[in-house]
Amino acid sequence: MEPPAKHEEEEEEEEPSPRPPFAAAAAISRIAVAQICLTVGYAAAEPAALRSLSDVAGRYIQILARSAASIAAVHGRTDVNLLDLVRAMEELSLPRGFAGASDPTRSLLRSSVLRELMAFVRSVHEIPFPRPIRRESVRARASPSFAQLGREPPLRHVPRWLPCFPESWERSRREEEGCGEGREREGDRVSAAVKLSEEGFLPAEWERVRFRLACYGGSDGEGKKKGEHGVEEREERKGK
Amino acid sequence: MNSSSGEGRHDDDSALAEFLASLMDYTPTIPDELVEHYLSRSGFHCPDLRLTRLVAVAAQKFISEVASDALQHCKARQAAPVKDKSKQPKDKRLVLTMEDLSKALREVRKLTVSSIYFFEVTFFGILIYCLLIEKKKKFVMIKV
Repeated sequence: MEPPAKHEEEEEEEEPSPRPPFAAAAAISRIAVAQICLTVGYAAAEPAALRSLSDVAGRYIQILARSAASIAAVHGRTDVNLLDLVRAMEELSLPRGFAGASDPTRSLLRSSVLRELMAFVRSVHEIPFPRPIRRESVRARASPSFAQLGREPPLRHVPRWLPCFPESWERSRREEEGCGEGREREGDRVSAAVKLSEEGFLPAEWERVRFRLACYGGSDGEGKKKGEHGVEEREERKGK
Repeated sequence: MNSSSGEGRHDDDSALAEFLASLMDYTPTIPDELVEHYLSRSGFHCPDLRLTRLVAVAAQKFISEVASDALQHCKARQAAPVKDKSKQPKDKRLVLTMEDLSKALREVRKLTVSSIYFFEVTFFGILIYCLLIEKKKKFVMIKV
């Protein structure tokens, strides 16, 4: 069969060169769409046509997800539930039309869009993806919030549910304020938690990056002094 | 009447619950990792894997509809009688070409993407119109 052999060749060619992260998603969607075309009845596909169809598939998922997320937000929820998703699917299939679209009091759980989907699942044979995909490391979920660590944010306007500030910023702020050892211990705990979650994600060089955030608590003169102090420190580190 | 409709509702709800449970056994062609990648990029947050599978299945259905439309165009093109005798007989193999795909997507483009941008365009159109009116007149009564 042509498409699977062609894709194996593509994968072998693409593996050695370093690629941006979204290229992997495009390659995976290309393979999945090729499998769908096989089930539909195609024997082969032009590369350009396959690439455009896989791009369309990715955009469809994004449009569906975006509308479901906005519907959930309109109802005051951050997590999407089944009703939001069904509403989003109905919104997308409105121009094409579906049974019961004219009835404003229709029940979402009994939507004809869902029924068509159920019929589709029943009719189509299961075709799993040929290779296992390495799951992307959970970067966003691993960063703990202030509330999770039981700490108070250093600035009053910062809410507790936000992820903690980077350790380097905290350290520089403590140095500038001239605080004692108590906070440093907490900082070590935070840095340990952050390092465990990042796990070799950031190379060692990144520790030297400093986020200079001006604390506008004092007068302009103090702010300038802090800025100078930060610049001096950076120069010292560069010297090292 | 009421009892039969109640029983009907119960059947529908149980069918939906069964379907959602069966989604965990059914593996959609579009893998979960890919769908989760796109969902996280769009702000769709849900810990339930069944909804992820539902999105994957919906996308699979959409793509298979587009592909089958393109297949119909391809078969129609092959079934058309050959005009030139010198022309080679058409390939019996079905190949997805850009022509067939663009014909199939033309219908979808009218239906899906433009409908979303239509609402955004009308909103901004109305906003700009109101601003233009405000410039001409000093007092604008907007009834909300």
